[in-house]
Amino acid sequence: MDMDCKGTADLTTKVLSGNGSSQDEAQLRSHVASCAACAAAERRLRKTWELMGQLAPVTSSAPVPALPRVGFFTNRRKLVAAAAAVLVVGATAFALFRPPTPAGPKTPLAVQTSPEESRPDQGEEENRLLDRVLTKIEIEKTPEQAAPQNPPTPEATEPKPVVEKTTTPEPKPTPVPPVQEPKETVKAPIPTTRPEDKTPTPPAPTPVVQPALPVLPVIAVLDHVEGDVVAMLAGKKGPANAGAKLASGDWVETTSKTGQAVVEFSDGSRLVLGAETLVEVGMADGKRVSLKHGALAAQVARQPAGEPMIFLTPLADARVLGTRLSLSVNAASTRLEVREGKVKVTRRDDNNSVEIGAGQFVQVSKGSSLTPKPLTTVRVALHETFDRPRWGGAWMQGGEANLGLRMAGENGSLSFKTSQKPQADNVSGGKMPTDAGEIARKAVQNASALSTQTKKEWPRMAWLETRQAFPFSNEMPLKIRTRCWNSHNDPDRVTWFAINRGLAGQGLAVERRGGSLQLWVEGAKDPVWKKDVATAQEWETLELWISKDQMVVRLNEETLYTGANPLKVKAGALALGVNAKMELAQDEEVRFDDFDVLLTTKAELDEVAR
Amino acid sequence: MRSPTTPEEERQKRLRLKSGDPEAFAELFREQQPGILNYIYRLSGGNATLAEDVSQQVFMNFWTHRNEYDLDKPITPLLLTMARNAWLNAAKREEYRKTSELKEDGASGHDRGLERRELEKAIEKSLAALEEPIREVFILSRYHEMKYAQIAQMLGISVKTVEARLSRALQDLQKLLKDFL
Repeated sequence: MDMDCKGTADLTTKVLSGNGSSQDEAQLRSHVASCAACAAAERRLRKTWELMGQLAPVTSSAPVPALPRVGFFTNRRKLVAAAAAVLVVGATAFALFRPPTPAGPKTPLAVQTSPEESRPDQGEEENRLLDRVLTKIEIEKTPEQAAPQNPPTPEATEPKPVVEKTTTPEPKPTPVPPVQEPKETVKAPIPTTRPEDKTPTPPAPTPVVQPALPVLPVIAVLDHVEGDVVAMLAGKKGPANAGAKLASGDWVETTSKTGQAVVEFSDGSRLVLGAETLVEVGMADGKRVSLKHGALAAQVARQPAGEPMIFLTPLADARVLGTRLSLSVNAASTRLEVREGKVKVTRRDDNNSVEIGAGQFVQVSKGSSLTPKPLTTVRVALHETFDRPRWGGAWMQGGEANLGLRMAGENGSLSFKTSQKPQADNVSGGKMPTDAGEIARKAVQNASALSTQTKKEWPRMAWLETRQAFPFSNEMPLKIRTRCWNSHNDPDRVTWFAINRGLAGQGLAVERRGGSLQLWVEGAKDPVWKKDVATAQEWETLELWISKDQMVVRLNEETLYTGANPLKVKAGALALGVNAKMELAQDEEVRFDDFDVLLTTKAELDEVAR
Repeated sequence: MRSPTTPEEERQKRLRLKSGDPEAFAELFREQQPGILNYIYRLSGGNATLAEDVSQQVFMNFWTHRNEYDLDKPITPLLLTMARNAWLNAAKREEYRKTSELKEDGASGHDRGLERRELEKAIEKSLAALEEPIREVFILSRYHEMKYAQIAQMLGISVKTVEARLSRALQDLQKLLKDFL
């Protein structure tokens, strides 16, 4: 242990609160990587920190206090400015208490200047300042521009109208009555005011909000938000908060790998949006949910007769009257799983349809057969494709990254690669000092001819570890799957994945050593199992299935090993961490493509174990 | 903090404040009032009346004494400090103490998920349950994004103390929120 476990809480706090240096972060990471207790503690603290970020802000009805000065609002333009400007108060209050999002999307503000303002006025500083205030308020709503490339649902294709803030009557009390002076006509009756963003928590005296323009009825509420979530509300895109009210045509998107959101309709029907998912809600003879991309799970309350809830995806539509289901889409297919009730699925291009009952799923793609199949996988706990360098969120990384080993997402996969020669600055010190790193550093310092270094003297190791832990049981075994490729089939050691790394008797690794596939328990002298397999330098799919009693290793969909769970602690409550780790010599590369952790069923494990 | 304004714009704003521009004051109020309000609300353990009064008072005081402040320094910590002092003074008076408890919101939220409300309540409660010196540090760090050094300066305590209190706060909160983790 290179760090006292007692310091973990302090260090974690420091890092979470943005007071930690990169060194602090590295120290914390390397420690929690090797200490399960601290890893758990760190996770709990992190979760606490995040939870506290959901604290609802209080809002105030307080107007700008009147100042002891004559002529506060002397001319009419000022009056308009002041009246309209109060509009932004609520929004500011809300933005303040949002937990910091690293690359949080900004609300698109298209500044529009009216001809009146550009007129060369008295040219006074004061007026210029005033113009600045005015332009800030005249927000042109441009939903199409801000929307992602996915086309909106048919019922929402018409562009949302431009509405000027200045034409909206003041919803909050101000020291002076607002002046009705529309500069441009409102082009359509889409209101700019909606009772959104009013958190219910504060006991602050709330004035009666009286929007004069009709407000689209609220059909659903954003009930829960986790990670980066963006919403388009009444044509205004911005970070989404729990409690936001959704009307027809509004959409919600979870933009990161860790994002999650729950949408609840007024009848209690709930949609749980997975990571990187975009959903648009609507109302037309029943609820409409348009899944543009990503995945969702839904619990649909009994719908009124003749008004089914319809899920629209690019390839197929699903009509439900009350059920539990999950739905996921990608460019080529739509997958629908039904837990309860019945759902009718219709493929768009040929209008073929099929009814999917409880415990069944169907995969709809162009020309595929629409036969329902029994459900096997219960839930995807982790799905990582490494198709863009965004895996930082769900993963922790470590290893000799500064010592000539590069870990990067590229060409849709994750590459671990040793360089031919270490860069000069690698000599000065690794980011993650470990024994292996120390050896490597010395080797580099002493080496006159690097090429003479054998791989044994110059090991490289890096790992990527999920921040999550995955519980499993006999009833719900885990299936861990990855596709991987190895440039050299190094007989010395490559680990495809490891579980609970660093814990003797509790850790497990599936390793490929040249032409041999092996299963190791941490701390043991010999592998639990080994088998010679072909060393073809092609992508291979490796699976590890684990339940409380059983373990299965599969290569390219073929079961190679079935045995008892060899771990010391195998109670049903045991949680797993998953690693991708290897050691490499110079100029070698290992690539990972998909990395999935799936919660599966006993029946399926029995099936593959045979 | 969160505003995308440039340093030059910030400086302009301060100049206008100093010169007594009411527009600048209104702008400042709109920008900063929610933060100050929430700070006092949380600091006082959920006393909305107090929070409203104090935040109003802070801005009026600021306006009256605007020429005495060094406006080259960031305004937020200054306002927070003023708010804190005003709160300390106000808290001494008896009438505020009586109302100092977390209020239920009866009105809205009936259509929201029960779990969610429970979580929100638990978050509020756990924050209010922290000891005052610890809560203060946590609020400044978590909701006002202040660094250890800034907090230390504002509260007149050492950085080490800030660090210890924040760590304590997070660990206490973790225990209080354990059902939701």
